[in-house]
Amino acid sequence: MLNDMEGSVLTLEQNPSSMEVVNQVFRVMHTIKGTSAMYDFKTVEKITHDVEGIYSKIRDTQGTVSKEISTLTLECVDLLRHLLNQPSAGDDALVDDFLARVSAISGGAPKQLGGDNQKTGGEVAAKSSTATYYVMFAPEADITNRGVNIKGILDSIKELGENTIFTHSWPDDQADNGKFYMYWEAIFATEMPFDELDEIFLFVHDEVKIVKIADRNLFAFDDFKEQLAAYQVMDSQIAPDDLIALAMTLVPLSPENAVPAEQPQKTEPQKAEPQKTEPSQSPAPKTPPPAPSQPSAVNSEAEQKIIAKHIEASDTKNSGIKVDSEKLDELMNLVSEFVNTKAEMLLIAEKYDIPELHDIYEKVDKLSNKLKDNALSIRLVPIESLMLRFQRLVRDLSRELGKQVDFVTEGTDTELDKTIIDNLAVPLMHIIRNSIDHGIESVERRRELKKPDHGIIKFTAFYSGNNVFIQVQDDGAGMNPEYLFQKAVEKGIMKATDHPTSRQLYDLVFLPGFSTAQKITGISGRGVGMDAVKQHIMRLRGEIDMDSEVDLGTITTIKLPLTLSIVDALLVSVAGTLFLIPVYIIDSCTLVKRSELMLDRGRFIYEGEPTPVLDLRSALNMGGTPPDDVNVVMVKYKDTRVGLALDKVHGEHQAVLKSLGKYFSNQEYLSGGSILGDGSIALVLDTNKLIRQLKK
Amino acid sequence: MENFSGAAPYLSFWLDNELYAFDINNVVEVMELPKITTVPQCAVCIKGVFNFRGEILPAIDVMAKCNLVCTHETSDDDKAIIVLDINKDDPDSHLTAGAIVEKVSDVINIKPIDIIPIHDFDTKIDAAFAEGIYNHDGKIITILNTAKILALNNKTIIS
Repeated sequence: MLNDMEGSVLTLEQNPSSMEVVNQVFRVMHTIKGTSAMYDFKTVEKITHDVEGIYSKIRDTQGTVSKEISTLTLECVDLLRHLLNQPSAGDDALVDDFLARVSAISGGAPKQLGGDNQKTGGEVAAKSSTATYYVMFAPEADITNRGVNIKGILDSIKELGENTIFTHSWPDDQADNGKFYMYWEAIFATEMPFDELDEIFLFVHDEVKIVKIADRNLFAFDDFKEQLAAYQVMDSQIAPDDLIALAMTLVPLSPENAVPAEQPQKTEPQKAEPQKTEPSQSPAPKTPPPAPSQPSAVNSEAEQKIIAKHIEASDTKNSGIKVDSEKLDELMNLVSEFVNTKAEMLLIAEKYDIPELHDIYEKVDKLSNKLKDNALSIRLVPIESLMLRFQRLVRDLSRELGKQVDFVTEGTDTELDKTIIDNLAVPLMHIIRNSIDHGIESVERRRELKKPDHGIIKFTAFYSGNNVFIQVQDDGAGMNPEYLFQKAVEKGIMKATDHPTSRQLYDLVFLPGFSTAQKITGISGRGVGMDAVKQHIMRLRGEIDMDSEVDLGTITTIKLPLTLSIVDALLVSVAGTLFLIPVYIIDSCTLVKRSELMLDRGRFIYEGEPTPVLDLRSALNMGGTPPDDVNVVMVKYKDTRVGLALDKVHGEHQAVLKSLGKYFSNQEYLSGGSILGDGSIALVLDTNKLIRQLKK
Repeated sequence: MENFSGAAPYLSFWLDNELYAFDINNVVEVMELPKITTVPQCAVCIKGVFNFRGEILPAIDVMAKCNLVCTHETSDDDKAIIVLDINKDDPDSHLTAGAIVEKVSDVINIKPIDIIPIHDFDTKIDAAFAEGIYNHDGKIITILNTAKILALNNKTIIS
């Protein structure tokens, strides 16, 4: 919850007049206040009460949230986190100080709270008139263990006003969704203000979705009641959008009936009308609900999108299903075994050459591929989830260091396996810290260089080939190759007479203990960071690179493999041992005579160019006599190509990567092994590591 | 597993015309010698890897591991792999591998008091790898220490 609020406040800073977001913050504060009061966390209660008060005033006066208030709110989030996680003795002083500042602001003139908006009454969210709501209450399976009084909740709903409650049980095909076997939908009309409604669902907050259908009592309309009766008969889940559409046909469109806050923005036309008993007037679907009413400040389209996305994000949280990651792992294992079995099937199909068997095999193959892709995609999470942390980081750090930094993101819907994302957070944070600390210059210096006051840190993520690229770019001071060279010579890593390329100099940054920072700050500069970052990335089987230009900026690129476990590969053999080379790294394959290879010079002519070539048999000390006809597989290596000379090429194989285990951890050039259709084992080559190793 | 007399079962097998045994608790399965895929540049005592019910396991040459030299050549006909594992419950120290043996023999119940400590015997095997000796009706069985046999080599021996 604190995370949600934090996100909302950050959105507020971009859009200080957005009432929906103000409402969100208010609701979270309110819920925390309620829960803490229940458990006697008096301090938390007091803090949230006071801050909630500020937001309440903002809501009522349709004011805007000033920078001071948003900073204060973020402080509140930190304070609450601290109090809840690691309370310590000196906390009382902290809390008193904070509360004093809160009252300074809330006690201040209304002007400080809101802008010059003198809105009263009129457009204020109707507090004392009736509204109709739709509630879906889908508790989790463990609700009975939590001591929640389900009947009590339903009774409270009934006491609110006219209501209809639908009881459902999940259909068989959703029996395993981790939810309690029953769920309820309720439609009711009440005078009670929205935030008090929330209190009924205090303990089941995440299991409840509330949508306002209309700003009047729809039960006054017979058509509405008939519709509800029809739903009763149907016994399937109701779509709140349908209800809203219905509401709008019953009530003429007017500003008071504009769809309120809870609604995510939808631009598609309303769904087709429900298909059962027609009420006497046939309601034709009208245009989509108009945009939520805003106070006079007009938000641009881009801003509207941010707000809508933000609300939708927190709204859709209720429409997902929580799945144990163990279940996902098991799913992946089963899919892998299926792929293996499919390979065995292929052998039989080829052995007996029965046409029907071939046909079936093709179908199985197609299905298996879809299943594989599907299972893999379930584990994929958009990188966006990392963004919030970084936004906060950038904001706080830039304040602390007295710099002005804007954080821009691109491609945040790029998806990565969940474990990789979890592992990326720390290295990325470090890179961003470095950028802000050492990269972005102070405002004065930027003015000297005729750069805009605000530095930019740009975060991009995109796919290319079989990899995901993540880039962090700043428009700061860049790294000075001269200075790097000096440091390298000082440390004895290079000689004064060397002529390294800039690339080689930038790579120095990844050496332990190497830091070009002029001074060491608390945050970075000790030279411990970047090498740890590199280790981290390499453990994910990725690569990291830096490039830079003095006074223009620095760009750090991280490259990660997309899928780790099922890989299309080429089956080859050397000295009787089977190897697998992933297809995405292969450029081409040629058959040459051994004599053409010029192995003693380590290169041969390929497409007119001398290309380095490695003889796997000798490189891996495999012994035996090599054949005259050599297959050379050209693989991509960094910016160029390297040929791998081997005995035979057998064909393609969809390899399910299996770890070779702890006994072979020294053999870095092997990513693992794979079991072929006939039960034999092929070793999967990591050509990058192999070439790197053998070049030494 | 112990019967009432305090004896524990051990699986005995032949290596270079001598009898050895592993504690049954560490034995997962006994299988016919499968195809072993050599892995280049790995430790000398690891003959390669094999397919065990869909998992890839290393095949350990027990003689080489104990630094012994084979004096007799035997055909592959009776050879088998005993799949062993130790520390099943601790993922950090859990190890599983297959030990290549010439011929599997019987399961023998041995009482701890009947096991003669290795130092009292003059055997060719390194004391580090064996727990003791047992006299089974005149036949000498060397009881091996599974954990030591399965232990990871920290150095890669490049042949």
